[in-house]
Amino acid sequence: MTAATTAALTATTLDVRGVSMRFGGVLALDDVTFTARTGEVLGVMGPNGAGKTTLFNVISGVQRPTAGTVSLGGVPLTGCPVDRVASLGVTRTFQTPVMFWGLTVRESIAVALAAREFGGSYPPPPLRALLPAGFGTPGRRRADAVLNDRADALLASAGLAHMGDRATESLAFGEERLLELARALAVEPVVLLLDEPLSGLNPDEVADVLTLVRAARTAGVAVLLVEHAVGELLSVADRVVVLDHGRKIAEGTPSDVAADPIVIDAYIGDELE
Amino acid sequence: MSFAPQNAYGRVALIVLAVVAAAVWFLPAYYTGLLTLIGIYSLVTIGLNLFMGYAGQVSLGQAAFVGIGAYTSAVLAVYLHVTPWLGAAGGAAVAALVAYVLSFVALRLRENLLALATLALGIVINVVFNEWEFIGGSSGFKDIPGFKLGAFTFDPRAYAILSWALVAVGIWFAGNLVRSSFGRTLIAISAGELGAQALGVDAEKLKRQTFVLSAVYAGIAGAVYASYQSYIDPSSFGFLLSVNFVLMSVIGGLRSLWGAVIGAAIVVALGQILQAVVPVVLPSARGDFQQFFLGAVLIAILILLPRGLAGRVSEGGRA
Repeated sequence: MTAATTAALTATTLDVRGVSMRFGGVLALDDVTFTARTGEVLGVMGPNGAGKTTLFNVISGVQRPTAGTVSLGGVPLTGCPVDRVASLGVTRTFQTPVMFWGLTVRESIAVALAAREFGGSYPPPPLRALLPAGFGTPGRRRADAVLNDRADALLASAGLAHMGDRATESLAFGEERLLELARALAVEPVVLLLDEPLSGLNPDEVADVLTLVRAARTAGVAVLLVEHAVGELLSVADRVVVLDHGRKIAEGTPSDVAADPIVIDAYIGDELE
Repeated sequence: MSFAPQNAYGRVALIVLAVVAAAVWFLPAYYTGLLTLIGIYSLVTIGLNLFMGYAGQVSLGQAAFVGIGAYTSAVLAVYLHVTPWLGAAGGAAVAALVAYVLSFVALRLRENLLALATLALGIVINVVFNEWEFIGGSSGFKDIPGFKLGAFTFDPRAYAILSWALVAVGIWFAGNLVRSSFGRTLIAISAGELGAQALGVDAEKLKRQTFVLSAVYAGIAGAVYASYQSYIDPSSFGFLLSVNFVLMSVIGGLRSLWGAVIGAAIVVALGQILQAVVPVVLPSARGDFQQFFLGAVLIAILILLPRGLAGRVSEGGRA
Protein backbone atom coordinates (compact mmCIF):
# COMPACT_ATOMS: atom_id res chain seq x y z
CA MET A 1 0.00 0.00 0.00
CA THR A 2 1.42 3.37 -0.94
CA ALA A 3 1.64 6.30 1.45
CA ALA A 4 -1.02 8.08 -0.55
CA THR A 5 -3.60 5.33 -0.22
CA THR A 6 -2.77 4.92 3.46
CA ALA A 7 -3.41 8.63 3.91
CA ALA A 8 -6.67 8.34 1.99
CA LEU A 9 -7.69 5.40 4.16
CA THR A 10 -7.04 7.29 7.36
CA ALA A 11 -8.64 10.48 6.15
CA THR A 12 -11.89 8.99 4.88
CA THR A 13 -12.82 5.55 6.00
CA LEU A 14 -16.44 5.07 5.05
CA ASP A 15 -17.83 6.89 2.06
CA VAL A 16 -21.60 6.87 1.57
CA ARG A 17 -22.47 8.56 -1.68
CA GLY A 18 -25.91 9.35 -3.09
CA VAL A 19 -27.54 6.35 -1.44
CA SER A 20 -31.25 5.86 -2.05
CA MET A 21 -33.38 2.96 -0.97
CA ARG A 22 -36.88 2.45 -2.26
CA PHE A 23 -39.37 -0.06 -0.86
CA GLY A 24 -42.31 -0.10 -3.26
CA GLY A 25 -43.64 3.43 -3.15
CA VAL A 26 -41.68 4.46 -0.07
CA LEU A 27 -38.33 6.18 -0.39
CA ALA A 28 -36.67 5.09 2.87
CA LEU A 29 -33.38 6.76 1.95
CA ASP A 30 -33.19 9.66 -0.46
CA ASP A 31 -29.79 10.58 -1.92
CA VAL A 32 -27.87 10.36 1.36
CA THR A 33 -24.19 11.34 1.24
CA PHE A 34 -21.68 11.54 4.09
CA THR A 35 -18.31 10.20 5.18
CA ALA A 36 -17.03 8.77 8.43
CA ARG A 37 -13.39 8.96 9.46
CA THR A 38 -11.25 6.72 11.59
CA GLY A 39 -11.23 7.55 15.25
CA GLU A 40 -14.49 9.45 15.30
CA VAL A 41 -17.93 8.75 16.65
CA LEU A 42 -20.46 9.77 14.04
CA GLY A 43 -23.93 10.08 15.51
CA VAL A 44 -26.86 9.30 13.24
CA MET A 45 -30.00 11.04 14.50
CA GLY A 46 -33.53 11.33 13.28
CA PRO A 47 -37.12 10.82 14.32
CA ASN A 48 -38.80 7.42 13.99
CA GLY A 49 -38.96 6.25 10.40
CA ALA A 50 -36.19 8.61 9.32
CA GLY A 51 -34.27 5.74 7.67
CA LYS A 52 -31.53 5.16 10.24
CA THR A 53 -31.81 1.40 10.41
CA THR A 54 -32.24 1.18 6.63
CA LEU A 55 -29.01 3.16 6.31
CA PHE A 56 -27.22 0.63 8.52
CA ASN A 57 -28.72 -2.24 6.54
CA VAL A 58 -27.42 -0.73 3.32
CA ILE A 59 -23.93 -0.06 4.67
CA SER A 60 -23.60 -3.52 6.25
CA GLY A 61 -24.82 -5.33 3.14
CA VAL A 62 -28.13 -6.59 4.55
CA GLN A 63 -29.90 -4.63 1.80
CA ARG A 64 -28.64 -3.46 -1.54
CA PRO A 65 -29.37 0.23 -2.20
CA THR A 66 -31.60 1.20 -5.11
CA ALA A 67 -29.03 3.84 -6.06
CA GLY A 68 -25.71 5.16 -4.81
CA THR A 69 -22.52 3.59 -3.52
CA VAL A 70 -20.88 2.69 -0.24
CA SER A 71 -17.11 2.28 -0.11
CA LEU A 72 -14.46 1.73 2.51
CA GLY A 73 -11.13 3.41 1.86
CA GLY A 74 -11.94 3.33 -1.84
CA VAL A 75 -13.01 -0.32 -1.88
CA PRO A 76 -16.64 -0.62 -3.01
CA LEU A 77 -18.96 -2.39 -0.58
CA THR A 78 -22.20 -1.92 -2.51
CA GLY A 79 -23.76 -5.24 -3.36
CA CYS A 80 -21.35 -7.26 -1.19
CA PRO A 81 -22.99 -9.78 1.15
CA VAL A 82 -22.87 -9.12 4.88
CA ASP A 83 -19.95 -11.43 5.62
CA ARG A 84 -17.87 -9.91 2.82
CA VAL A 85 -18.57 -6.41 4.11
CA ALA A 86 -17.53 -7.64 7.56
CA SER A 87 -14.33 -9.21 6.28
CA LEU A 88 -13.51 -5.86 4.64
CA GLY A 89 -13.76 -4.22 8.07
CA VAL A 90 -17.37 -3.11 8.62
CA THR A 91 -19.28 -4.85 11.37
CA ARG A 92 -22.45 -4.02 13.24
CA THR A 93 -24.72 -4.72 16.16
CA PHE A 94 -28.50 -5.01 16.03
CA GLN A 95 -31.42 -3.27 17.70
CA THR A 96 -32.31 -6.62 19.20
CA PRO A 97 -29.00 -8.26 20.18
CA VAL A 98 -28.29 -11.43 18.19
CA MET A 99 -27.09 -14.07 20.63
CA PHE A 100 -25.46 -17.40 19.76
CA TRP A 101 -27.60 -19.62 21.96
CA GLY A 102 -25.82 -22.89 22.61
CA LEU A 103 -22.50 -21.16 23.20
CA THR A 104 -21.01 -19.59 26.30
CA VAL A 105 -20.01 -15.94 26.40
CA ARG A 106 -16.36 -16.90 25.89
CA GLU A 107 -17.21 -19.14 22.96
CA SER A 108 -19.26 -16.38 21.34
CA ILE A 109 -16.23 -14.11 21.41
CA ALA A 110 -14.05 -16.95 20.14
CA VAL A 111 -16.32 -17.29 17.08
CA ALA A 112 -15.49 -13.71 16.19
CA LEU A 113 -11.79 -14.37 16.80
CA ALA A 114 -11.84 -17.48 14.59
CA ALA A 115 -13.04 -15.36 11.68
CA ARG A 116 -10.24 -12.92 12.47
CA GLU A 117 -7.69 -15.77 12.54
CA PHE A 118 -8.39 -16.50 8.88
CA GLY A 119 -8.16 -12.97 7.55
CA GLY A 120 -11.63 -11.85 8.56
CA SER A 121 -13.52 -14.64 6.82
CA TYR A 122 -14.61 -18.06 8.05
CA PRO A 123 -14.41 -20.88 7.11
CA PRO A 124 -11.19 -21.23 5.13
CA PRO A 125 -10.84 -24.26 2.80
CA PRO A 126 -11.45 -27.62 4.56
CA LEU A 127 -7.74 -28.44 4.67
CA ARG A 128 -7.16 -25.44 6.90
CA ALA A 129 -10.03 -25.67 9.39
CA LEU A 130 -12.55 -28.52 9.02
CA LEU A 131 -10.06 -31.39 8.67
CA PRO A 132 -7.54 -30.23 11.30
CA ALA A 133 -10.48 -29.65 13.67
CA GLY A 134 -12.05 -33.05 12.99
CA PHE A 135 -8.78 -34.93 13.33
CA GLY A 136 -7.97 -32.89 16.42
CA THR A 137 -4.47 -31.98 15.30
CA PRO A 138 -2.27 -30.50 18.03
CA GLY A 139 -1.85 -27.34 15.94
CA ARG A 140 -5.59 -26.78 15.73
CA ARG A 141 -6.06 -27.54 19.42
CA ARG A 142 -3.38 -25.04 20.34
CA ALA A 143 -4.94 -22.45 18.02
CA ASP A 144 -8.35 -22.98 19.63
CA ALA A 145 -6.80 -22.67 23.10
CA VAL A 146 -5.24 -19.39 22.01
CA LEU A 147 -8.65 -18.19 20.78
CA ASN A 148 -10.11 -19.00 24.21
CA ASP A 149 -7.33 -17.10 25.99
CA ARG A 150 -7.73 -14.12 23.71
CA ALA A 151 -11.49 -14.22 24.25
CA ASP A 152 -10.89 -14.10 28.01
CA ALA A 153 -8.49 -11.19 27.60
CA LEU A 154 -11.05 -9.30 25.51
CA LEU A 155 -13.80 -10.00 28.03
CA ALA A 156 -11.53 -8.72 30.81
CA SER A 157 -10.77 -5.53 28.92
CA ALA A 158 -14.50 -4.98 28.41
CA GLY A 159 -15.13 -5.51 32.11
CA LEU A 160 -16.94 -8.80 31.46
CA ALA A 161 -14.30 -11.21 32.79
CA HIS A 162 -16.80 -12.73 35.23
CA MET A 163 -19.17 -13.70 32.39
CA GLY A 164 -16.93 -16.00 30.35
CA ASP A 165 -18.42 -19.33 31.44
CA ARG A 166 -22.05 -18.26 31.33
CA ALA A 167 -24.42 -19.66 28.78
CA THR A 168 -25.65 -16.95 26.43
CA GLU A 169 -29.22 -18.10 27.15
CA SER A 170 -28.82 -16.92 30.74
CA LEU A 171 -27.82 -13.31 30.03
CA ALA A 172 -29.94 -10.31 30.97
CA PHE A 173 -30.79 -7.86 28.21
CA GLY A 174 -28.08 -5.39 29.18
CA GLU A 175 -25.49 -8.16 29.29
CA GLU A 176 -26.55 -9.25 25.81
CA ARG A 177 -25.91 -5.74 24.52
CA LEU A 178 -22.46 -5.64 26.12
CA LEU A 179 -21.57 -9.10 24.79
CA GLU A 180 -22.70 -8.19 21.29
CA LEU A 181 -20.58 -5.07 21.40
CA ALA A 182 -17.54 -6.93 22.74
CA ARG A 183 -18.04 -9.58 20.05
CA ALA A 184 -18.14 -6.94 17.33
CA LEU A 185 -14.97 -5.32 18.69
CA ALA A 186 -13.25 -8.73 18.71
CA VAL A 187 -13.10 -8.72 14.89
CA GLU A 188 -11.13 -5.44 15.09
CA PRO A 189 -13.40 -3.55 12.73
CA VAL A 190 -12.43 -0.43 10.81
CA VAL A 191 -16.03 0.73 10.97
CA LEU A 192 -18.49 -0.25 13.68
CA LEU A 193 -22.21 0.34 13.24
CA LEU A 194 -24.14 0.44 16.51
CA ASP A 195 -27.92 0.35 16.17
CA GLU A 196 -29.45 1.82 19.34
CA PRO A 197 -26.86 0.30 21.68
CA LEU A 198 -28.24 2.14 24.71
CA SER A 199 -31.92 1.31 24.47
CA GLY A 200 -33.19 -0.83 27.29
CA LEU A 201 -30.09 -0.34 29.44
CA ASN A 202 -29.85 0.92 33.02
CA PRO A 203 -27.59 3.92 33.75
CA ASP A 204 -24.63 1.73 34.77
CA GLU A 205 -24.88 -0.27 31.56
CA VAL A 206 -25.17 2.92 29.51
CA ALA A 207 -21.92 4.09 31.09
CA ASP A 208 -20.28 0.72 30.29
CA VAL A 209 -21.33 0.89 26.63
CA LEU A 210 -20.18 4.51 26.27
CA THR A 211 -16.81 3.56 27.80
CA LEU A 212 -16.42 0.81 25.19
CA VAL A 213 -17.44 3.20 22.42
CA ARG A 214 -14.89 5.77 23.51
CA ALA A 215 -12.19 3.11 23.78
CA ALA A 216 -12.98 1.95 20.25
CA ARG A 217 -12.70 5.53 19.01
CA THR A 218 -9.31 5.87 20.71
CA ALA A 219 -8.24 2.65 19.00
CA GLY A 220 -9.02 4.28 15.65
CA VAL A 221 -12.40 2.72 14.88
CA ALA A 222 -14.96 4.81 13.01
CA VAL A 223 -18.09 4.33 15.12
CA LEU A 224 -21.48 5.08 13.60
CA LEU A 225 -24.05 5.40 16.32
CA VAL A 226 -27.80 5.35 15.84
CA GLU A 227 -29.46 6.29 19.12
CA HIS A 228 -32.77 7.61 20.33
CA ALA A 229 -31.28 8.87 23.58
CA VAL A 230 -30.34 12.22 22.04
CA GLY A 231 -28.58 13.53 25.15
CA GLU A 232 -26.17 10.58 25.30
CA LEU A 233 -25.68 10.63 21.56
CA LEU A 234 -24.73 14.31 21.52
CA SER A 235 -22.40 13.79 24.47
CA VAL A 236 -20.38 11.01 22.85
CA ALA A 237 -20.51 11.95 19.14
CA ASP A 238 -17.81 13.98 17.45
CA ARG A 239 -20.08 14.78 14.53
CA VAL A 240 -23.73 14.16 13.85
CA VAL A 241 -25.72 13.41 10.70
CA VAL A 242 -29.45 14.05 10.95
CA LEU A 243 -31.95 12.17 8.78
CA ASP A 244 -35.61 12.96 8.33
CA HIS A 245 -37.92 11.09 5.97
CA GLY A 246 -34.89 9.44 4.39
CA ARG A 247 -33.11 12.67 3.62
CA LYS A 248 -30.04 14.15 5.28
CA ILE A 249 -31.24 17.44 6.71
CA ALA A 250 -28.19 18.43 8.74
CA GLU A 251 -24.60 17.48 9.49
CA GLY A 252 -22.13 19.02 11.92
CA THR A 253 -20.86 19.12 15.47
CA PRO A 254 -23.30 18.11 18.18
CA SER A 255 -23.73 21.71 19.35
CA ASP A 256 -24.35 23.01 15.82
CA VAL A 257 -26.88 20.29 15.11
CA ALA A 258 -28.65 20.71 18.45
CA ALA A 259 -29.12 24.42 17.68
CA ASP A 260 -30.18 23.91 14.06
CA PRO A 261 -33.81 25.07 13.60
CA ILE A 262 -34.38 22.50 10.83
CA VAL A 263 -33.41 19.70 13.20
CA ILE A 264 -35.53 21.07 16.01
CA ASP A 265 -38.43 21.37 13.58
CA ALA A 266 -38.02 17.74 12.46
CA TYR A 267 -38.08 16.47 16.03
CA ILE A 268 -40.92 18.71 17.20
CA GLY A 269 -42.85 17.98 14.02
CA ASP A 270 -42.41 14.30 14.74
CA GLU A 271 -43.73 14.69 18.27
CA LEU A 272 -46.76 16.64 17.06
CA GLU A 273 -47.68 14.03 14.46
CA MET B 1 -0.77 -36.49 16.98
CA SER B 2 -1.11 -39.38 19.34
CA PHE B 3 -3.27 -42.26 18.21
CA ALA B 4 -5.26 -42.34 21.44
CA PRO B 5 -8.71 -40.74 21.13
CA GLN B 6 -8.53 -37.26 22.56
CA ASN B 7 -12.16 -36.68 23.35
CA ALA B 8 -14.76 -38.47 25.40
CA TYR B 9 -16.70 -39.36 22.26
CA GLY B 10 -13.73 -41.35 20.96
CA ARG B 11 -13.16 -43.16 24.26
CA VAL B 12 -16.80 -44.11 24.69
CA ALA B 13 -16.96 -45.15 21.05
CA LEU B 14 -14.01 -47.51 21.57
CA ILE B 15 -15.82 -49.11 24.50
CA VAL B 16 -19.00 -49.47 22.43
CA LEU B 17 -16.95 -51.00 19.62
CA ALA B 18 -15.38 -53.47 22.04
CA VAL B 19 -18.81 -54.45 23.34
CA VAL B 20 -20.11 -54.97 19.80
CA ALA B 21 -17.00 -56.95 18.84
CA ALA B 22 -17.56 -59.22 21.82
CA ALA B 23 -21.34 -59.45 21.49
CA VAL B 24 -21.37 -60.68 17.89
CA TRP B 25 -19.85 -63.99 19.04
CA PHE B 26 -22.86 -64.66 21.24
CA LEU B 27 -25.75 -63.00 19.43
CA PRO B 28 -27.98 -64.90 17.03
CA ALA B 29 -27.37 -63.93 13.40
CA TYR B 30 -30.61 -61.94 13.28
CA TYR B 31 -29.41 -59.56 16.00
CA THR B 32 -25.93 -59.29 14.52
CA GLY B 33 -27.60 -58.18 11.31
CA LEU B 34 -29.64 -55.57 13.16
CA LEU B 35 -26.49 -54.33 14.89
CA THR B 36 -24.80 -53.91 11.52
CA LEU B 37 -27.78 -52.00 10.16
CA ILE B 38 -27.86 -49.78 13.25
CA GLY B 39 -24.14 -49.09 12.84
CA ILE B 40 -24.54 -48.16 9.16
CA TYR B 41 -27.53 -45.92 9.87
CA SER B 42 -25.76 -44.36 12.88
CA LEU B 43 -22.90 -43.32 10.63
CA VAL B 44 -25.30 -41.55 8.28
CA THR B 45 -27.15 -39.92 11.15
CA ILE B 46 -23.98 -38.65 12.86
CA GLY B 47 -23.16 -36.81 9.65
CA LEU B 48 -26.74 -35.59 9.32
CA ASN B 49 -26.69 -34.31 12.91
CA LEU B 50 -23.73 -32.09 12.10
CA PHE B 51 -25.76 -30.51 9.30
CA MET B 52 -29.15 -30.48 11.02
CA GLY B 53 -28.42 -30.30 14.73
CA TYR B 54 -25.32 -28.15 14.81
CA ALA B 55 -25.60 -26.06 11.65
CA GLY B 56 -29.38 -25.83 12.10
CA GLN B 57 -30.23 -26.85 8.52
CA VAL B 58 -32.40 -29.65 7.19
CA SER B 59 -31.87 -32.40 4.62
CA LEU B 60 -34.63 -34.68 3.43
CA GLY B 61 -32.41 -36.26 0.78
CA GLN B 62 -29.71 -37.99 2.78
CA ALA B 63 -30.63 -41.46 1.46
CA ALA B 64 -29.52 -40.32 -1.99
CA PHE B 65 -25.96 -39.90 -0.76
CA VAL B 66 -26.08 -43.33 0.82
CA GLY B 67 -27.22 -44.61 -2.57
CA ILE B 68 -24.45 -42.79 -4.40
CA GLY B 69 -21.87 -44.33 -2.06
CA ALA B 70 -23.42 -47.77 -2.54
CA TYR B 71 -23.65 -47.57 -6.33
CA THR B 72 -20.17 -46.07 -6.73
CA SER B 73 -18.57 -48.79 -4.67
CA ALA B 74 -20.63 -51.48 -6.44
CA VAL B 75 -19.73 -50.18 -9.92
CA LEU B 76 -16.05 -49.95 -9.01
CA ALA B 77 -16.07 -53.47 -7.59
CA VAL B 78 -18.13 -55.21 -10.27
CA TYR B 79 -16.86 -53.46 -13.39
CA LEU B 80 -13.32 -52.54 -12.38
CA HIS B 81 -12.59 -55.10 -9.65
CA VAL B 82 -11.69 -52.37 -7.21
CA THR B 83 -11.60 -53.55 -3.59
CA PRO B 84 -14.53 -52.25 -1.50
CA TRP B 85 -12.00 -50.57 0.80
CA LEU B 86 -11.13 -48.24 -2.05
CA GLY B 87 -14.73 -48.38 -3.24
CA ALA B 88 -15.84 -46.85 0.06
CA ALA B 89 -13.38 -44.01 -0.44
CA GLY B 90 -14.64 -43.61 -4.00
CA GLY B 91 -18.26 -43.67 -2.80
CA ALA B 92 -17.49 -40.99 -0.25
CA ALA B 93 -15.73 -38.90 -2.89
CA VAL B 94 -18.57 -39.11 -5.43
CA ALA B 95 -21.20 -38.40 -2.74
CA ALA B 96 -19.13 -35.41 -1.62
CA LEU B 97 -18.80 -34.15 -5.18
CA VAL B 98 -22.54 -34.44 -5.84
CA ALA B 99 -23.33 -32.74 -2.52
CA TYR B 100 -20.88 -29.97 -3.37
CA VAL B 101 -22.46 -29.28 -6.75
CA LEU B 102 -26.03 -29.51 -5.43
CA SER B 103 -25.22 -27.22 -2.51
CA PHE B 104 -24.97 -24.27 -4.88
CA VAL B 105 -28.66 -24.67 -5.59
CA ALA B 106 -29.96 -26.01 -2.30
CA LEU B 107 -28.07 -23.96 0.26
CA ARG B 108 -29.33 -20.63 -1.08
CA LEU B 109 -32.64 -21.71 0.38
CA ARG B 110 -33.72 -21.74 3.96
CA GLU B 111 -35.78 -23.93 6.25
CA ASN B 112 -38.92 -25.19 4.50
CA LEU B 113 -37.57 -24.42 1.05
CA LEU B 114 -34.27 -26.15 1.84
CA ALA B 115 -36.24 -29.16 3.06
CA LEU B 116 -38.22 -29.21 -0.19
CA ALA B 117 -35.09 -28.75 -2.31
CA THR B 118 -33.21 -31.61 -0.63
CA LEU B 119 -36.33 -33.77 -0.86
CA ALA B 120 -36.52 -33.05 -4.60
CA LEU B 121 -32.81 -33.72 -5.09
CA GLY B 122 -33.15 -37.04 -3.32
CA ILE B 123 -36.03 -38.02 -5.56
CA VAL B 124 -34.20 -36.92 -8.72
CA ILE B 125 -31.12 -38.93 -7.78
CA ASN B 126 -33.36 -41.92 -7.12
CA VAL B 127 -34.87 -41.50 -10.58
CA VAL B 128 -31.34 -41.60 -12.01
CA PHE B 129 -30.71 -44.89 -10.15
CA ASN B 130 -33.94 -46.22 -11.64
CA GLU B 131 -33.38 -45.17 -15.22
CA TRP B 132 -29.65 -45.67 -15.68
CA GLU B 133 -29.23 -49.14 -17.16
CA PHE B 134 -25.44 -49.07 -16.68
CA ILE B 135 -26.01 -49.33 -12.93
CA GLY B 136 -28.79 -51.88 -13.25
CA GLY B 137 -31.81 -49.63 -13.60
CA SER B 138 -34.83 -50.62 -11.57
CA SER B 139 -33.66 -54.22 -11.16
CA GLY B 140 -30.56 -53.08 -9.28
CA PHE B 141 -27.09 -54.44 -8.85
CA LYS B 142 -26.35 -58.04 -7.89
CA ASP B 143 -23.33 -59.99 -6.65
CA ILE B 144 -21.49 -57.03 -5.19
CA PRO B 145 -18.15 -58.30 -3.85
CA GLY B 146 -17.65 -58.22 -0.11
CA PHE B 147 -14.90 -56.66 1.96
CA LYS B 148 -11.76 -58.74 2.33
CA LEU B 149 -8.86 -58.65 4.70
CA GLY B 150 -6.08 -60.76 3.18
CA ALA B 151 -7.67 -64.12 2.44
CA PHE B 152 -10.57 -63.48 4.82
CA THR B 153 -13.87 -62.51 3.21
CA PHE B 154 -16.08 -60.59 5.62
CA ASP B 155 -18.85 -62.57 7.29
CA PRO B 156 -21.86 -60.98 9.07
CA ARG B 157 -19.87 -60.68 12.31
CA ALA B 158 -17.07 -58.85 10.56
CA TYR B 159 -19.58 -56.43 8.99
CA ALA B 160 -21.02 -55.65 12.42
CA ILE B 161 -17.53 -54.91 13.71
CA LEU B 162 -16.63 -52.91 10.59
CA SER B 163 -19.76 -50.77 10.77
CA TRP B 164 -19.23 -50.02 14.45
CA ALA B 165 -15.53 -49.29 13.89
CA LEU B 166 -16.68 -46.70 11.36
CA VAL B 167 -19.18 -45.35 13.89
CA ALA B 168 -16.30 -45.01 16.36
CA VAL B 169 -14.15 -43.11 13.89
CA GLY B 170 -17.13 -41.06 12.73
CA ILE B 171 -18.18 -40.04 16.21
CA TRP B 172 -14.58 -39.30 17.20
CA PHE B 173 -14.14 -37.01 14.19
CA ALA B 174 -17.51 -35.32 14.71
CA GLY B 175 -16.80 -34.99 18.43
CA ASN B 176 -13.53 -33.21 17.74
CA LEU B 177 -15.28 -31.02 15.21
CA VAL B 178 -18.18 -29.87 17.39
CA ARG B 179 -15.83 -28.88 20.18
CA SER B 180 -13.54 -26.90 17.89
CA SER B 181 -13.93 -23.36 16.62
CA PHE B 182 -15.52 -24.93 13.53
CA GLY B 183 -18.30 -26.50 15.59
CA ARG B 184 -18.85 -23.32 17.57
CA THR B 185 -19.25 -21.38 14.37
CA LEU B 186 -21.83 -23.94 13.21
CA ILE B 187 -23.80 -23.33 16.41
CA ALA B 188 -23.41 -19.57 15.89
CA ILE B 189 -24.95 -19.63 12.39
CA SER B 190 -27.71 -21.89 13.61
CA ALA B 191 -28.58 -19.49 16.44
CA GLY B 192 -28.11 -16.18 14.64
CA GLU B 193 -27.00 -16.40 11.05
CA LEU B 194 -27.01 -12.65 10.39
CA GLY B 195 -25.12 -11.98 13.60
CA ALA B 196 -22.42 -14.46 12.60
CA GLN B 197 -22.25 -13.05 9.08
CA ALA B 198 -21.69 -9.60 10.55
CA LEU B 199 -18.51 -11.04 12.12
CA GLY B 200 -17.23 -12.29 8.76
CA VAL B 201 -18.67 -15.80 8.83
CA ASP B 202 -19.51 -17.00 5.32
CA ALA B 203 -22.58 -18.95 6.40
CA GLU B 204 -23.22 -20.47 2.99
CA LYS B 205 -19.68 -21.80 2.70
CA LEU B 206 -19.82 -23.16 6.23
CA LYS B 207 -23.09 -24.96 5.48
CA ARG B 208 -21.63 -26.25 2.22
CA GLN B 209 -18.61 -27.79 3.92
CA THR B 210 -20.86 -29.38 6.53
CA PHE B 211 -23.32 -30.65 3.91
CA VAL B 212 -20.44 -32.21 1.95
CA LEU B 213 -19.10 -33.77 5.15
CA SER B 214 -22.52 -35.27 5.88
CA ALA B 215 -22.49 -36.73 2.36
CA VAL B 216 -19.07 -38.29 3.06
CA TYR B 217 -20.52 -40.04 6.13
CA ALA B 218 -23.51 -41.20 4.05
CA GLY B 219 -21.32 -42.31 1.13
CA ILE B 220 -19.08 -44.49 3.30
CA ALA B 221 -22.14 -45.99 4.99
CA GLY B 222 -23.64 -46.74 1.57
CA ALA B 223 -20.51 -48.52 0.37
CA VAL B 224 -20.50 -50.76 3.42
CA TYR B 225 -24.22 -51.39 2.97
CA ALA B 226 -23.73 -52.45 -0.66
CA SER B 227 -21.04 -54.99 0.15
CA TYR B 228 -22.87 -56.20 3.24
CA GLN B 229 -26.12 -56.83 1.36
CA SER B 230 -24.30 -57.81 -1.85
CA TYR B 231 -27.43 -56.54 -3.60
CA ILE B 232 -28.81 -53.00 -4.01
CA ASP B 233 -31.66 -51.49 -5.95
CA PRO B 234 -33.14 -47.98 -6.18
CA SER B 235 -35.85 -48.72 -3.64
CA SER B 236 -33.17 -49.24 -0.98
CA PHE B 237 -32.41 -45.51 -1.09
CA GLY B 238 -35.81 -43.92 -1.49
CA PHE B 239 -37.54 -41.01 0.17
CA LEU B 240 -38.72 -43.07 3.15
CA LEU B 241 -35.14 -43.87 4.10
CA SER B 242 -34.34 -40.14 4.05
CA VAL B 243 -37.30 -39.54 6.33
CA ASN B 244 -36.06 -42.28 8.62
CA PHE B 245 -32.66 -40.58 8.90
CA VAL B 246 -34.40 -37.38 9.95
CA LEU B 247 -36.45 -39.42 12.45
CA MET B 248 -33.25 -40.95 13.86
CA SER B 249 -31.72 -37.49 14.18
CA VAL B 250 -34.70 -35.96 15.89
CA ILE B 251 -35.59 -38.90 18.11
CA GLY B 252 -32.05 -39.17 19.42
CA GLY B 253 -31.58 -35.45 19.83
CA LEU B 254 -30.41 -33.16 17.07
CA ARG B 255 -27.50 -31.56 18.82
CA SER B 256 -26.15 -34.78 20.19
CA LEU B 257 -23.79 -37.20 18.51
CA TRP B 258 -24.67 -40.20 20.66
CA GLY B 259 -28.27 -39.21 20.08
CA ALA B 260 -27.70 -40.16 16.44
CA VAL B 261 -26.75 -43.68 17.51
CA ILE B 262 -29.63 -43.93 19.97
CA GLY B 263 -32.04 -42.64 17.33
CA ALA B 264 -30.78 -45.15 14.77
CA ALA B 265 -31.16 -48.00 17.27
CA ILE B 266 -34.69 -46.96 18.20
CA VAL B 267 -35.90 -46.52 14.64
CA VAL B 268 -34.44 -49.85 13.53
CA ALA B 269 -35.80 -51.65 16.58
CA LEU B 270 -39.19 -50.00 16.26
CA GLY B 271 -39.30 -50.91 12.58
CA GLN B 272 -38.69 -54.56 13.45
CA ILE B 273 -41.26 -54.56 16.21
CA LEU B 274 -43.87 -52.90 14.01
CA GLN B 275 -43.10 -55.32 11.20
CA ALA B 276 -43.89 -58.17 13.58
CA VAL B 277 -46.81 -56.59 15.41
CA VAL B 278 -48.72 -54.65 12.75
CA PRO B 279 -49.66 -57.64 10.55
CA VAL B 280 -51.01 -59.41 13.62
CA VAL B 281 -53.02 -56.46 14.94
CA LEU B 282 -54.07 -55.04 11.59
CA PRO B 283 -53.99 -57.88 9.04
CA SER B 284 -55.14 -55.60 6.23
CA ALA B 285 -52.31 -53.06 6.74
CA ARG B 286 -49.61 -53.10 4.07
CA GLY B 287 -45.86 -52.67 4.53
CA ASP B 288 -45.59 -48.91 4.58
CA PHE B 289 -48.10 -48.80 7.38
CA GLN B 290 -45.32 -49.02 9.94
CA GLN B 291 -44.16 -45.63 8.74
CA PHE B 292 -47.39 -44.29 10.14
CA PHE B 293 -46.52 -45.62 13.58
CA LEU B 294 -42.97 -44.32 13.35
CA GLY B 295 -44.49 -40.93 12.64
CA ALA B 296 -46.75 -41.24 15.66
CA VAL B 297 -43.77 -42.10 17.86
CA LEU B 298 -41.87 -39.13 16.47
CA ILE B 299 -44.72 -36.77 17.32
CA ALA B 300 -44.93 -38.21 20.83
CA ILE B 301 -41.20 -37.73 21.36
CA LEU B 302 -41.28 -34.20 19.97
CA ILE B 303 -44.04 -33.29 22.40
CA LEU B 304 -42.57 -35.03 25.43
CA LEU B 305 -38.85 -34.45 24.77
CA PRO B 306 -38.34 -31.61 22.32
CA ARG B 307 -34.57 -32.06 22.46
CA GLY B 308 -34.72 -35.76 21.75
CA LEU B 309 -33.94 -38.68 24.00
CA ALA B 310 -30.32 -37.63 24.47
CA GLY B 311 -31.29 -34.01 25.00
CA ARG B 312 -30.98 -34.26 28.74
CA VAL B 313 -27.74 -36.14 28.75
CA SER B 314 -24.92 -33.64 29.03
CA GLU B 315 -22.91 -33.74 25.84
CA GLY B 316 -20.64 -30.80 25.36
CA GLY B 317 -22.53 -28.79 27.93
CA ARG B 318 -25.77 -27.13 26.98
CA ALA B 319 -26.74 -29.11 23.95
